[in-house]
Amino acid sequence: MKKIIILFCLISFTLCGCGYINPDEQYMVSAIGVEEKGALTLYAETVSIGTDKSTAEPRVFKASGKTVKDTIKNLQNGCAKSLILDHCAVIILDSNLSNETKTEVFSFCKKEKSFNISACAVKTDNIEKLLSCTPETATVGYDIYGILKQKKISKEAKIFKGIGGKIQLYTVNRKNDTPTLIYEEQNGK
Amino acid sequence: MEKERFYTNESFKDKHLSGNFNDDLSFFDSLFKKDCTYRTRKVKIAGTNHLCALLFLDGMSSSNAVASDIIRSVFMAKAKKDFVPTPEYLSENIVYTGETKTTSSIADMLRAIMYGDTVIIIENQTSALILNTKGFRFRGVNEPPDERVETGPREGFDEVALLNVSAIRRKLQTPDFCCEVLRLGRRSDTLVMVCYLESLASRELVRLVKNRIKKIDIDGILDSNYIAESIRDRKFSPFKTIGSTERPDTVAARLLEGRVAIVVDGTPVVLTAPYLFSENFEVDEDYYQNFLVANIGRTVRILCFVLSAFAPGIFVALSCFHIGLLPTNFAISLLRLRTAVPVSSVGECLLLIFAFEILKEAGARAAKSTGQALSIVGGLVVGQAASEAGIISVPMLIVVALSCLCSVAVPRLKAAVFYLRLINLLACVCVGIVGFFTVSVLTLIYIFSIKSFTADYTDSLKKTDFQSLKDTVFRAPWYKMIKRPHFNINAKRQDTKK
Repeated sequence: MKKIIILFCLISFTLCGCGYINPDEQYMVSAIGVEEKGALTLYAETVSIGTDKSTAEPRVFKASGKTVKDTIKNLQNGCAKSLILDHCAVIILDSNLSNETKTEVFSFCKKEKSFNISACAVKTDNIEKLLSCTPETATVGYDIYGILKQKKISKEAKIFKGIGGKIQLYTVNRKNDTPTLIYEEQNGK
Repeated sequence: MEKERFYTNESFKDKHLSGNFNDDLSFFDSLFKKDCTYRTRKVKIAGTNHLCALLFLDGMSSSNAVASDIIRSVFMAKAKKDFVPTPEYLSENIVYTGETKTTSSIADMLRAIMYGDTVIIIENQTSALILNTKGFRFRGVNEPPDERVETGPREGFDEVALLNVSAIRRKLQTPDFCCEVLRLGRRSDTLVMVCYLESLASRELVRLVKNRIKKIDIDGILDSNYIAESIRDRKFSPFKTIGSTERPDTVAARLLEGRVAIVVDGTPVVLTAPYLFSENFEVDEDYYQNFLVANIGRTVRILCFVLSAFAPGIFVALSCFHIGLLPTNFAISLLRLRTAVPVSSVGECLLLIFAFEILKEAGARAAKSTGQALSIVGGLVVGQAASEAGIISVPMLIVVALSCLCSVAVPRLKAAVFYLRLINLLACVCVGIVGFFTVSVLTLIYIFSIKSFTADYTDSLKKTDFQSLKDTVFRAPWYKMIKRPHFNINAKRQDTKK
């Protein structure tokens, strides 16, 4: 009996190693951008390591699809490494995104078990332009998250709110090559 | 087979002196015919016409003691001519030697000769006199290198069992101290002494220890580990279930807790039983300095054990399965430092663990003069050069180095730590952090299932009252250590205040 249990444990352990990915075989997604121009387009800003290994710089992947899940799948297919969403800090939504798509995006984020629970959502007029800023930190995504945190509004913009919690979508646009929060002008706060 | 039986001391246990002086002498001569250190000296007992022969081994016996205490006294004896000297007469009236023993058993005489004593055979006598003339060289009292302390006694055992027992006896000056002699090893006939305090050690424990020792059938006992491996519980367990020390004060302290000590001739390592899990984290110094200071060290040692066994596995699990649990900046650094490393995380972890084991083994075997050079080469080659060349990543190097460093802090658990580290790593590679939790729970179950002689391995952790835990994860001040451990069944002596 003892031998059977040991054998069972050994076999079950050897069958479970599928989740193992070396850190360098992963693309750490820092921000996801969603826009709808005919088809759904997703931008994934990842942390990429420079050839000299001393700097971390952003790299943006882009893919289109019918649903968020499909698009993420297409994004993954276009990358040489696994995309991991554990450290995704921001979801950048296009200002013209329909409410249905927004709901779909938020519902995907909530269902995805590895999605970062402190991720925030913001809106912008031009995702591609915003993501092409020169970041102060490793990526533009972390820059935006930093701005929200510094302004002490990251809690309001959090995707994972409690039941009935409403997400406050702040606008972040590119200004002088840096992401800039522009709610002050809009709301007069 | 017959030949083998003939050459063991035990095979002579029924053989006695014949009473024929020449026959007995030639019998001994034939036994030692190829031993160039064997010496026979015939001496005429002064005043009589009787001859006696001194049998001893050169180098084992003190030539001074043989010459001045025996030969000189026999030459100067004032006996009547018609007097027939007996071993008893010689012992009572002639020789100056302090310790004497009369025997007719050849086995006893052989043991005495081979342990440095001198045997006197007298003409026409069927018994002989054994005189203590031990004069072999021994190392002397030194501080054990592996059990050094900053404060407290600095003496250690040496290789002579009798002297080791005397060192313990000096600390326990009570008639309650018992020391039973056993002989072990078919060819080595090694002296093994079982020591305990009669009023504290349970009879069951003493009987169990002696029975297990008696069951050992081996050619020779050259170290106490020969016995330890044979008598311990859970023989294949990496956790120690029998204690070992080179310090008399440690043995005395163990005896005062109702344990049994096994002193083996030829080794400075004395065994103690039973052995509890909490003893792995104890050092003698804990008891010789303020309990507040001692508790810092003990807590660090427990942490070291956990870190040493589980840190590499947890790190691999976090970096390869649950990178989301790491802070973002740390994850980015990890990503940066892992880039272009050709070996997988688990591969580099295993590589570093074995590199450390190689360094440790090489360091232990190297001569003292090359030790320093070895550590420099090891540190530079394995550490700096390998990480600069991109063969291993710096975070993994730090984690494994920390883990290996921690294992040095708990030397008694080195085997357990090594195997646990590998098993935990394997489990973490398979199922991530779940593997760590599985291994740690199974390890706890296993530790709690171990027994050491009559006691539970986790005896001191069985109850959660202060007196049970007073010397486990922390050490209480001496005036609060009122009761002895649970395995000590002598209830009347539990209260040390009495």
